[in-house]
Amino acid sequence: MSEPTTTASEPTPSASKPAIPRTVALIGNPNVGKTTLFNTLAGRRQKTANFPGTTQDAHIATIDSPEGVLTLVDLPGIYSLTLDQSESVICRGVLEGNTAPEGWRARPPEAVMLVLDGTNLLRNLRLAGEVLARRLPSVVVVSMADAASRRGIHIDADRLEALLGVPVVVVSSKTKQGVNEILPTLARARASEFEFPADAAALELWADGVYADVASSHDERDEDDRLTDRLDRAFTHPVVGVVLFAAIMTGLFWVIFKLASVPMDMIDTLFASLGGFVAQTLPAGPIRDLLTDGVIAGVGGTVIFLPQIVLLFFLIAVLEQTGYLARAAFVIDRLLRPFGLPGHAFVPLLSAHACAIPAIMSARAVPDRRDRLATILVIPFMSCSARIPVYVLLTQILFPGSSTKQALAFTMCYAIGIAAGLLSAILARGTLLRGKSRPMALELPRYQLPSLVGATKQALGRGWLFVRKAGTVILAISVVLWWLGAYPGSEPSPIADGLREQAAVVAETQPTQADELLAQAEMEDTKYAARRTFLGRIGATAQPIFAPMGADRQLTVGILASFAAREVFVSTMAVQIAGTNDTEDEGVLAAVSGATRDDGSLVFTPATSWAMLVFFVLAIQCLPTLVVTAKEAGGWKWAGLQFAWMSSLAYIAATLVYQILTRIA
Amino acid sequence: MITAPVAPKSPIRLSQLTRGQSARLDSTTLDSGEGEALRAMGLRPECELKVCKMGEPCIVTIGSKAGGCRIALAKRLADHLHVRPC
Repeated sequence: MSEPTTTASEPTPSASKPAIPRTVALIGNPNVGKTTLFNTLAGRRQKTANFPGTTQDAHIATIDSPEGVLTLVDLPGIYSLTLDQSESVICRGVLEGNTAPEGWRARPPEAVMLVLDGTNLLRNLRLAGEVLARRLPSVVVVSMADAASRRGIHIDADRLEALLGVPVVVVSSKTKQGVNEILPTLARARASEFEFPADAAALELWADGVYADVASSHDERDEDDRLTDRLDRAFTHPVVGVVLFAAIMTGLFWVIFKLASVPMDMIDTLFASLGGFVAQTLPAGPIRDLLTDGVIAGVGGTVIFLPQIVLLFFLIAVLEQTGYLARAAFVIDRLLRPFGLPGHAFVPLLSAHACAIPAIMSARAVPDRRDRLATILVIPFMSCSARIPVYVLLTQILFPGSSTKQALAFTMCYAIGIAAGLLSAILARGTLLRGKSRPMALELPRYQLPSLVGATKQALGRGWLFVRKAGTVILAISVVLWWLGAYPGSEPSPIADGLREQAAVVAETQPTQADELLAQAEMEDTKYAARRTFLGRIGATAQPIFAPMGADRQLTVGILASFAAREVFVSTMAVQIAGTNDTEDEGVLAAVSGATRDDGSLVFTPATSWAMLVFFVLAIQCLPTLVVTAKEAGGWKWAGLQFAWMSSLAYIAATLVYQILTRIA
Repeated sequence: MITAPVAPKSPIRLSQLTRGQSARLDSTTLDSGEGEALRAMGLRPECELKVCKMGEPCIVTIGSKAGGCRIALAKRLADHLHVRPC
């Protein structure tokens, strides 16, 4: 099954040690403690990889144990190998040697580690029968020994080993009971010689027989169950459940929105300093510009998303481990179903208000393919934090001095985004993604304290996956956009030449005025150069397309440049109008507000400002989001559709707003 | 005293049970994919289940109280599961 296609050295068993299988697939039902066990065995040396064409992850670790070196692959949790669900299809493919995570060679594993939940052995035995029937060398790990013991369940491991025909070890990840025996037991992995029934009914009867022979329990309801009943009723209650959910999600949103800003600012400062250092060290020229404005800015623009991605996935992992998330999915399913979206879509949609990229990645939790695609398609309608600088600029221009009106306009932007997203979901589910939604059926895991170490590992794994998969494409396109915005170079502007001549004249008598004139000349040069770049020329050519929504040449350049990232709109406008990209300067914002078109009329009339506001609420204008959509939805056609739909809607809505407002005025 | 044998109760929908009631799964009217998925999760014919919560979702525990599992079902699914109260 799984050996890296790129790694030359394969682990070789030492002659003095017992032979240990080199590739081991970890398989079991969901919620049996499989991933916790994997984390315990793997330590820090683990990676996350996708199965090709799916959103299913495999966690892979190379373990250097006294018994030898082995590669352990944690497969998605499944209830049966025979189901027509993506998780089951992947596990079948892995066991047959037809499927492997991306970057790994497909071949059958040398051994299978089958994890069975000690507190629910009867049901788990069905999967055991299906797996052992495949005649691969196997070991059985009975997990949750501590919970089973607490519930009065005793499992006779020797008897189970005799009935299954493979080594059995009973473990608890919590108390570490039996964990040290797992790797030595793997060295004894063998294929069972027994026959296992093929059809479900016969397999269940076989499981009944084995269970009766190996397990004994006192049949008493414990206090845990009564507490679980009460918590379940509260968390899934139509009113109480929604209130609790709102409170928990507010906390989650706050953490992503606020706490992430600290490391994001640090990353921003770090890359700015790095750019400054390179700019000072290297001689002026195209290589320095490429490194500072293309590569460093591109890498910085990718890495800056990491704090939000890692925080979101950390919090989701924590909530999932507590057992709450499965309950919450049902609560919100009722609210989202009328729009054709499942309950699982809520966390992605909410977190999209911070950033669409981690939100789209978290849509992997949506089990049904059509539901997942609909969720991914509408996520970018939610107003992310990158839209805020644009909203700030435009609401300040529209309502100078009235923070109440600015706040109302802000809220309206968020509401328009949510409404457009939900209506688009209805449309998508009624056309392209038509089909019956899969009604929800979920196993509710036990409530438990989360493992912060496990959650951190999961979050870091997801962050690394983003850097590797999306970062490279984003960097390449950032460099191309930098080039379009920087070339061809231009000579100094005639106005700037005039200002410099004036400065030379007054240099000795009025040095302060001379400095001001020189600074003004520099701004004129920047504005002049911006008009002559490829992007500036494209903007001039494309202006008639954006004219119906009130855009002049400068606004068109702003819109086109902000295709890479919408927040670029503000700095692009500042460069063109004020000749600086310092958007913190209030004088610059005033200059942008009062900027004039080539014919002398205002750029930002009320009609144009409203039209631009509506445009930026609805347009996607974020290249990294499109890259992640293509990766997560399984093709660029989905990213293309998302771009076309959102851009068309934004264009039509902005044009209508502009045309109606200019006629009313 | 000789008592007449008690006739087995006739199947009703899972969604018609009340909280705390136990029953055995009799049959389903789901399509084969959904039925197979629920069966693999533990909702197999003749399994004993107990209702923890009715409505949306319907929450049941399956199997022995000392072991078993807890499954939440959309009401739409619970309407398609037929059980015999016990």
